[in-house]
Amino acid sequence: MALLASIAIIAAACGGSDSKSGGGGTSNEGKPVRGGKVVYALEGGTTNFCIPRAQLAISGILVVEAVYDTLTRPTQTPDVYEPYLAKSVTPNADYTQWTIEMRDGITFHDGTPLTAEVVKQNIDAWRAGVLLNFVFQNVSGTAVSGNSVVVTTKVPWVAFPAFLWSTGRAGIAAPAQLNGANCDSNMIGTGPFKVDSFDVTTGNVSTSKNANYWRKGFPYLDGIDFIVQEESSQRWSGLEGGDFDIAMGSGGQDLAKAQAISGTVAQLEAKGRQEISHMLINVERPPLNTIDARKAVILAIDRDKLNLIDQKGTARYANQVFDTEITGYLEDSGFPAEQDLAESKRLVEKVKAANGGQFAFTINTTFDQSTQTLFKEAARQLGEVGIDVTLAPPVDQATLINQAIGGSSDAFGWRNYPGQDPDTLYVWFYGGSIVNFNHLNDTAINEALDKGRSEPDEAKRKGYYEDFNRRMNELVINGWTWYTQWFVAHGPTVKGISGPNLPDDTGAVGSKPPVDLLAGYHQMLGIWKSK
Amino acid sequence: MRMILLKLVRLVVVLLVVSFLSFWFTKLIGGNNDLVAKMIPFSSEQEKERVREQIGLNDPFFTQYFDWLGNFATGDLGELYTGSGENVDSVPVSEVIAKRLPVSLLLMLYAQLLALMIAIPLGVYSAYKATSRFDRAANITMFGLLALPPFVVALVLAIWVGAKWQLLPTQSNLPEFPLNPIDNWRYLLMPTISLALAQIAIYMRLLRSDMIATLQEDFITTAKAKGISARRILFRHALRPSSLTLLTVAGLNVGALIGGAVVVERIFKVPGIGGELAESIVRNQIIETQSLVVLIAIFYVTFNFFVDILYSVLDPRIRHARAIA
Repeated sequence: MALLASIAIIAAACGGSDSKSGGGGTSNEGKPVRGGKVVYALEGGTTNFCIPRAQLAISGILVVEAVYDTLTRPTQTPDVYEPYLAKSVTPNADYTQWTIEMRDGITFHDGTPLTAEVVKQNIDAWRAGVLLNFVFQNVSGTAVSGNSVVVTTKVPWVAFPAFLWSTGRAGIAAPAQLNGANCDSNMIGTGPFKVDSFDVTTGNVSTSKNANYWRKGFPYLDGIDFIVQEESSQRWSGLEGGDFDIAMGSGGQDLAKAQAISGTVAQLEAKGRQEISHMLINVERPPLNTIDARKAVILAIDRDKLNLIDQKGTARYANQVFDTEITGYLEDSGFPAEQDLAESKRLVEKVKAANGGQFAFTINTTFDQSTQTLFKEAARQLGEVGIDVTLAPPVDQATLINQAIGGSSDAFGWRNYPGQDPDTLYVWFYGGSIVNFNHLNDTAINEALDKGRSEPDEAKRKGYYEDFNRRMNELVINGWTWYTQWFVAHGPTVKGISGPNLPDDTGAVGSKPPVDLLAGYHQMLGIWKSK
Repeated sequence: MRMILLKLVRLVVVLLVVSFLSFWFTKLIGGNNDLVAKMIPFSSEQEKERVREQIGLNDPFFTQYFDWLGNFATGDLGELYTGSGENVDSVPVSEVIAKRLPVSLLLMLYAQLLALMIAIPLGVYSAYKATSRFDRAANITMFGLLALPPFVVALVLAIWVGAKWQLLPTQSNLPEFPLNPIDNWRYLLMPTISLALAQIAIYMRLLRSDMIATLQEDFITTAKAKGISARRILFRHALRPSSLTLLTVAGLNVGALIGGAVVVERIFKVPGIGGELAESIVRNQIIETQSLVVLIAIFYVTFNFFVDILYSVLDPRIRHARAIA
């Protein structure tokens, strides 16, 4: 769950920099060199790493990637997740029971063994956790059977393996962390790196190599230091000055700056599974609680102009919640994408008539300068049709999420929905979910999400998610803008960002490649630094 | 001595007023329930209630204030709440401050020293050579520096000195920040310059105008008539009586330095109080914000108290007048 509304696809390479889109595994980068440390610049700090209740945005998830392992991992096919820490994840005939078989001989950083009991404890903790409980509310019970955990669900759950990854949030923690009073800061996982220090006030995390890592031969590095630098310009200065080896970024302006640094390699997220930048609307709060009001807003927006201002005209427009490779994607989503000022003005008058002559709302955003510029222009465009928009004082990501959960704000600059199994949208849009930031509770949408969750037939499943997608746009839930171009920038000596292929049954490097970069997430174990 | 005691009493009264206003203003940010909900939004209701009880939010306003003040006076500056769920973790704010305050003090000391070391000779020489080409050039340059906010200087330095030329690190975000100047100057030089530039301009211009006035005084004419060297007249006879305004402004500018440090520390990730204050605000750590604001106010008021005392050291006429009074 990362946010914000500044994105883009920029191709302005200069100064000898290099860009790669996907496929950046270790195979074509030379023979990996062992040793050395890298400094990884993050865009935000995380104060709580107690997995069941941690509020993790992209920066926190990258730390989790280094310290913990998840039971499954995504592949290059959006709906397919491979076992990772688990040896296998197998459903029964009707998908109401999943058996998670564990690998042998894996230990946590504190030397305690990873057992089926521990995995059960983790899943039970997720079910009780403040943020993950809605995600796992379909689980009715867990039981240990030999070296496996058997998870029983209330209704058939076809995409259950996707949730064992949960966009990188479902790291398996040691009992000493889960049971301890300092669960938030005492990070103990099975991951390739163990935590040496975590400064809760800065968010910096220093890690060193887990010499007993279960994936033999990994990691290559002796450690990774995660340093928080919220100011994007300073991330690029730090990268150029050699203070950072790797820096995360998203958006056209960031990418252009990173690419302008001589020798820098910007590994881009491939198209087809990208997040969507949008104006997230709280559909419960007047005046945006009617379709007419939301449509008036969307029809007033000139996306081409916003694109020119924020993305140098290169953005790939999004008209729905799915990118092109995701089940449920529609060629014609029904989203009112084209600006229609006459129709917008007509609807504005209608809304004003119903609201005592007023049509005013507030948009909340983060500090980022390009976001501020973007929304100032959007507010100006909305003002031209008679909608009075106020930009709320900008806040940091975590506060913006809290504001969205709180439900007392009208609209937000947002970015979310990385391309995965469509069932992962359940938590964002199903009525009653704590992270249903739109505060939406629509019978048709709930029904489509319920049916999609339990339907094993691919064609029918696709139909349900297409229905869901259409309904989202009928209701004009969000103001979609464009797909978010995430990237990881690093110096020429840093290699192996995508990491090795996923492990086979024995734990050795298998034949299935991982997803290279998904909304900024990538493996940490394969990173190496050439001399 | 009596004068110092009187000033001390006034200092205590000012500090009490500052502490009360800071406490009251932070209460205005949100009601009692909101305060905790903002700090630990993802904690359970029981934990929220426990924290409310711990920080005394269920007590009457003045009980809260006096409890907080008593704790503050004994070094208990509250907690920085970091957790969620059933077991909210916390870190004592005093621990955070103990780690960060020395870094900020060093940064401010360096910035003041650098500013004064450049501004004093420049101001003196400009006054001595008033209306000369050097004086005009110095004045124009200082006007330019005054117009540059610290964050602009910081970003320009970071891009050119740090990133392009790779002379100094752009980040000071070390696991253990060194307090030894030999080890930390590389990390604090760019933040120091960012903070000091505008101060140089202010100090130089103030000193120049005071020096020009002093150089018209009869005792300077007498000194010249005695054949005392220009350097001795400027630095031994004219500088001391001309530096009172400079001293006052240098004291008052500690506030500006703290304000600038909030931004500059954030840009260079200097682990100081300014950056922490900004972080505490964006993280809704209202107890921490409150403690930091009061601490900064105490520092500011106390610093100016000592500046006030220094007046009488610098100018015997003030000491004499106070003695008569």
